Parts: sequence; structure tokens; C-alpha cells
Amino acid sequence: MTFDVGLPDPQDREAMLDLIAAYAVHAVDDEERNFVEAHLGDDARYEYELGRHLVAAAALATEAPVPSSTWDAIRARTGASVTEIDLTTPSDPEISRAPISPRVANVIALDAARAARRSKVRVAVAAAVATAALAVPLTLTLTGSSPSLAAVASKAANERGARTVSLRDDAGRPLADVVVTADGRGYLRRDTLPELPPGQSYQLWAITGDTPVSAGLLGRDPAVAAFTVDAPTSAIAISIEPAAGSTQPSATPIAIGSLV
Amino acid sequence: MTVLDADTPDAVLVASVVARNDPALAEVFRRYAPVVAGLARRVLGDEALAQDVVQDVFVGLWDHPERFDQSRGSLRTLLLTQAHGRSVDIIRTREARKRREDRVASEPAVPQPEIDAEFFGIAQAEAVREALLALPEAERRVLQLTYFEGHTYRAAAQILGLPEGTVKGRIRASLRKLHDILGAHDDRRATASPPVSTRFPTGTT
Repeated sequence: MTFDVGLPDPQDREAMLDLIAAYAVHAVDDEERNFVEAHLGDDARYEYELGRHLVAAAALATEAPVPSSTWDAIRARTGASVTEIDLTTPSDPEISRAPISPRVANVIALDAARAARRSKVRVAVAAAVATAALAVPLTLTLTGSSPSLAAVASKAANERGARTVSLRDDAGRPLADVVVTADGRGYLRRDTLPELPPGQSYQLWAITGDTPVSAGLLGRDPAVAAFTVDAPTSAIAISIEPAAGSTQPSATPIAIGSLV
Repeated sequence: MTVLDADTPDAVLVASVVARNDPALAEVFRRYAPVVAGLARRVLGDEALAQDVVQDVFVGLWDHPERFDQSRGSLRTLLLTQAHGRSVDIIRTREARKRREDRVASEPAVPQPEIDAEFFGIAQAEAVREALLALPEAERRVLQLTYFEGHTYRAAAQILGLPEGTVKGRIRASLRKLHDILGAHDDRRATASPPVSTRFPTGTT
């Protein structure tokens, strides 16, 4: 048995095209990846074939269910305000555009019929975020990348009636700061929460009386966050939950701060 | 209320994402999250990790929409390329960690997966199933090891006892055939201009 070694001669078109195919399915090592990227522009054929390979590889993907908590987590990381997405029916148009045989066509026809019954997708946007959020406690917007939200949070802290609360652990150590305005807007401003392993997420809770109500998922590595609370909220807490979130805290909150 | 139609072109959605219109991100998510999740779950075999990949892909779109140039490839292809690269990163990290932990084990096992049973059990779409069945067995095995299990072509060559050049050639041949069967509808976008933006970010392979 023989094994090939080394990178191909960039002038060896067939060898380069074979390596580019492996690159297209992420089957190369770092050195080869850099090599391919350095030489993709050498020959129009290289980029042409790569484009076709990527299309072919992508065509192998099939759909799987996506829990609503995934969008919740994305909302928490991006600050997106959309709260509801219809994920109950197949949605990828490419899959239903690839008929292979009459048997497949029948399957696709069924999908199309389902799609026709579905009304046009309407993405509900929280136009009046504060008002809507007071009615729906599980509302959270957060971003790890938008500088504007940090500025908004700082400005909110200076509003009349706003309160800044330090969420502390059992030992009294501050783990996060939260600002809550008079009209119920809230911001997680600073935190020293360590990044959680995959499969877990920090979850924020607004406590009314003795009842914790989810204020949203913060993700594995929280950044500046925005959320809303009902007026009678007496405390804010953070717990560690499964990535999909929990309807009630599954463990003792790791940090809590009183609003009264 | 903003209303986005399911027929809104991807290019319009991406332009809206660039303009920081988060309902557009939501529509992209509605449209492609299931297939991104399906691919990530297939490669990783772990639901929680797959959902992490879904998050990373769509947050990546929000943070860096300039990487998703519609003139250089379909949004679907680009999202799935990102998802696959991220999934392979994760699986190789896990494998590397496991190898370190298992270093004391003197006899490395050479996996001989039951290719067909697992492969086709996961390939839910009939179109995909038929396309895979249309491939020669030798090419299907190579694609299974590299694309779906995250092995490099070198590792696949060792597993199969084949020269590396043969494995690369089979990857290329299988992708070309699959493109003819499954990917022809995306030809316009794939050939309109070079997919420069599909180059993998550092660390994705």
C-alpha cells in the first residue's frame, strides 16, 4: 500500500482539483486549507468546481426539528425582537425543488399541499416592546456584539426611578449588575459569569412574590442583555439551566438581587 | 407589525440583515434553521451541540452578514457550509480530546461503520436517499467518512486502506455526481461568479 504525501504542485490542475474537493467537505488539515485558499484564484476552474462541490454537499442536508429555545438563545445573543417563528412545517425551499423520481414527486406534492394550506408567514415584531413585553414575561433581548445596547443600558441607569441591583451569590460576591427602569425595562450590564459548557445556559428570572417567571435565556456566555419585568417584580435571579431553558428554575439560583 | 413573505428572495433578506433588520434574520432562521440543524445533528450526533451550531451560524450571519454575498452563492449553501465547518471543528476537537484520554489504550480500533444502515437511516429526504444510492459504493463510503463523520481525507484513507489520492479523487467524483443529481437548480448561482466568500474562516477545518 502507498500513501501520498505533501501538497500538490499548484500547476498540477487535476491534483489541485482533487484537493479542492476535499477542501469543500472540510476534509483537509489546516496547512492544506491555507494552501487551497492561497491558490483558488490561480485558475477560474478551481473556484468554479469549488462552488459546485459546495452546492452538492449542501444538497445532502435534510431537515430536523428546531426547538423554540434555539431562537430564544439567538434572540438573546443578537437582540432580535421577533418573538414567534413558525417552525412547525418544512421550510427549506431547496429540498422541495429537487425532484428525482415520481415517488419523490409525490412526497414533494404532499409538502406543497401542506405549504399551500399554511398561511403566509407573518413575523410578529414587538413594535411596542415595553408594552408587549409586560404582557409576555418571557421576553428578552440581548446582544454580545451591539455596542448600542450597552449605551442604552447606561442611559437607562440614569433615568428617573431606575434602580441598579447587584446580583450576588450565596457568599455575597457580585456576579452581575442589573438595571431596572420605572416602566419595567431591564438590562444586564456587567457580569463575571463563567462560560458554561455546551448544553447549558444561564437563565434570568423575575421573581414576583414567591413565583419566578422566566425573563429569558442568556446563553452560555452572557453579554449585555435587555429584558422586561412586570411592575411588581421583587427580585431578579440567574440560574443555570439546560440549553433549552426551563419553565421553572431546576436548581437554586446562583445569583439573586432584591428590587425592594 | 412588519410582514415578511415566505417568497421574499434571500438576497433581500440578507440586505435587510445588513441593515440590522432583525425580522429578516428571523425569516432566514425560519427558512433554514431546520436544515442547518439537520446537518449539524447528522455530523455531530448530539442534539445539544447541534443546536449550539445552529445558534453560532445564525448569530454569525447577524454579526458578519458581509460573508454571505448572494452574488457568490446561495444563502442556503453558505449557511450549510458554515454549519458543516463548525460541526467538523467540534467533532475533531472531541476526537482529539478523546485520543489524548485514550492514549494509554494500546490497540486503536479501526472503525468499520455499518455505512448503509446509518447513512440511509438519517437521510430522510427521498431525493437525498436516491442520490446517495446512485453513487458507487466506494464513493459513498468515502463521502460518509469525510462529509458525515468529519474525517480528513487522510484519515479516511487510513480507515479504508486506500491511497490518499484515491480518496480525494473519490470525493471529487462523488460530489460531481451529486451535483448533477441534486444541485443543478443552484447552477446559476454557483457559476455566476467565484464563491470567494465561501472560503472557510480560520479554524473551520
